[in-house]
Amino acid sequence: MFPRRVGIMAALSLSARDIEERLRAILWRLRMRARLHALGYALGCTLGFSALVVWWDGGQTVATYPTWSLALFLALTVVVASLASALRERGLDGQSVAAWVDREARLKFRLSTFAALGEAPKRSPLFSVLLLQLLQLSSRYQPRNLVPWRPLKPVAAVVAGVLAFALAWTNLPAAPAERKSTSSAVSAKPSLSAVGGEQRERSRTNQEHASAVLGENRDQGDASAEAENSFDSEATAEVADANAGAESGRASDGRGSSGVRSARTGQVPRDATAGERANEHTAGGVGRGETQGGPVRKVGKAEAKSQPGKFESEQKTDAGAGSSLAAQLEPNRFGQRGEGGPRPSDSRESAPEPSQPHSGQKGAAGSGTDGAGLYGQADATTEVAPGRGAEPLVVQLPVSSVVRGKGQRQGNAARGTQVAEDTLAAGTSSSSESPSLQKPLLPPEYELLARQLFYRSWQP
Amino acid sequence: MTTPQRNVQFFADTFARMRSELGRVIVGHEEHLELILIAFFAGGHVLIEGLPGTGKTLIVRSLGELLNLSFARVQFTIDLMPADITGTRILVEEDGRRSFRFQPGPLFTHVLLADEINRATPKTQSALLEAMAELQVTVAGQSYPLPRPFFVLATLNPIEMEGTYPLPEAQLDRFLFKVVLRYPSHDELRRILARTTGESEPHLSPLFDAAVAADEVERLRALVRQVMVAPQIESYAAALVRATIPTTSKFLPAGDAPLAADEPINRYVSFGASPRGGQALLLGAKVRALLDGRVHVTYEDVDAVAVPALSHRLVVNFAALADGIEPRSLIEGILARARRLRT
Repeated sequence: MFPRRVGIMAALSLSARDIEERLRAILWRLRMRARLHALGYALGCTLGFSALVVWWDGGQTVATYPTWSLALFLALTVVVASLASALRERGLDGQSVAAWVDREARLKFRLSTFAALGEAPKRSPLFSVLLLQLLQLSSRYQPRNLVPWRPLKPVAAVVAGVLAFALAWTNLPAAPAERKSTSSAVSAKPSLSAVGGEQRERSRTNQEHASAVLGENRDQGDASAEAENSFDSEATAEVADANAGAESGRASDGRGSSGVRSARTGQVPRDATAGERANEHTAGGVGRGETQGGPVRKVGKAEAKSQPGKFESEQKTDAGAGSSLAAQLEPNRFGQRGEGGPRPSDSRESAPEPSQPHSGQKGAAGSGTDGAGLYGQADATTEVAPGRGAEPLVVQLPVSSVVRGKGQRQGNAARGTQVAEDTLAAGTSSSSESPSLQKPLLPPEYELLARQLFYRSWQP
Repeated sequence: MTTPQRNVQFFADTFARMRSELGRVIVGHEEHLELILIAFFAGGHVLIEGLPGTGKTLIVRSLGELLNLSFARVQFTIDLMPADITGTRILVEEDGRRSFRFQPGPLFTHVLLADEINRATPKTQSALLEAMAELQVTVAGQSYPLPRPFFVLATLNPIEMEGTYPLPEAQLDRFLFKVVLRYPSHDELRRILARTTGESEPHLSPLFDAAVAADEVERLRALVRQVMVAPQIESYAAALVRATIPTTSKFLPAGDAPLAADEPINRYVSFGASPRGGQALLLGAKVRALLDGRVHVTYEDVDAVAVPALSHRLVVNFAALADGIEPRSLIEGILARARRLRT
């Protein structure tokens, strides 16, 4: 009798240990699966949120530092929340898991009773029956069967998030014109390249307005206003011709600047568009081959002329290429700071003619006379000659610009002395020898960025 | 099959046979029969409330016959004295010497039918208190144990209330369950008529021999006590009992209960269930578990016996009587709220 009892007790102990191990395995799998699910859902939500941001913002500010900081913060929050959830899951006690297994495996509270009373100092004589029943029902609560690795929903959430993000990124909606007009010069670039009728119409309207104002300025004979208002290559033209032969300067300006623009961005349509604009304005006698933002800029400066002291604020709120001075002070999409742009010392400051190309180099929508383009190579602050009676402007150009075939010219531009001649030559050549104007090639890394930025109008 | 397994199986088989045999005699009332059998194996007593002729006496008598246990019936009347049921000391003469000898009353039986218990005076009713709770009778300062098993099945007649004495709460608390028998349905009534007006009435075949019947029943009762109850089940039963006590009760101790009394309880109940209610819950749940072949109690077992175990322990006030609120509905409301306590 006694050996049999010992044998029974040993069998009971083995059975109890087996069930305990199985319960422990279920607990471990439950926790792991809970963590996996939490991570999957967190990733999916993060991607979905990012997609929403991209879609909502049109991709304009998603690449900016604050946005990504916010995204990083949110991602970290999600990760921390997931970890906290995992820690909480780790705190699942055996009783809770046993109750869960009872429900899932229809054990009728057997496992919960086992887990609760298994460690009791005095077990009921019927405890062996409970063990036997649990062993008989062991197929119901196999850890693999009970907690399978089927993270279908979290995986689906992640996949959905990825798809949504990719969809939003590849189908960025056109940003509203108002937003683009108030955004930086870099963000205004796509609008320049866009050939939408609305934007073209708006450009024409601005140009007409600017032409009217400029005509008024011209009537007043204020040459300094011209120099002051000049911002793009038209100022360069004025530098090239001190007496500012308006028509020629505008002509070269119109072609040259657009050519440079196209050279900078490598966008033929934009070049053609700018050329058209230049031709139109030249034919119209107004002759301001400005791009979209330029005339607006001039409007502001013309107003500033009549209202001294207003220039600064106008300048900061101006849009498009004309506001590139202010825009250059802002971090652009390429991470280039505005040091490369000219800094007017005061509101009455004349335009720094030789340095204007550099403002174009800085990435303003319609500038850049030497074709060196957006990614100016000057590695140091270049102090250029001031305009008529104005303080010198300090232009800081980034180092990293590499433009094939125009490096020398760009170097001249950086030195600030031959810029006018180069610009004039470029304008002349673009007008008369436009086929000889070579399109600068972008370095691969910039080409990739430009492709992302100007995905709509990108044509290699 | 191990011995505990065999015992569990024997219990389930015995219960099934009893239910089947009683079903041959008693038409309908299957649910009530099961509750009575549960109370019997749980070691409690049952209060049956029903109209005359609904089979109360037949149930008790059939139970005694089936288990081959001694059976006694006491018709409670207003002039029934405590000594009439507990027994008394009588003067006897033996060998020329006179002495008092205790003459056991009808309480000294295994199965006692206290018919229309509410017609006896409170004094006589209270004589049952000690017998039901302590399983002993004290006469003239001397205690006499009652035979085991001892099972009291009292009946209440809800009509003809004139000249009756409602059972005091203390005595009501001694009953494990209260079963309310209803009128038989049409089909049940037809079967009753066919069965009781024929040539021969069905006879019950005892399950046990008379010599071992009491021991067998006691062994089965002991098995019920061995059924395991997880701590969370005990907590659940305690919460149910605690939820029957109005929060306005001055006897309620401070501290948060997992399930506080709701508005109907506070409005209609004067006094809630005592700890005996919790005992009744778990004992009844244990028997139900064994009937299912289990050796542990589940939440469903507790819920199944909650209404018969707790309803007669609620002392409802006049507002409940005026509004027609029955304790059963109050208990069911508590059960509905208590589901969130389940793990």
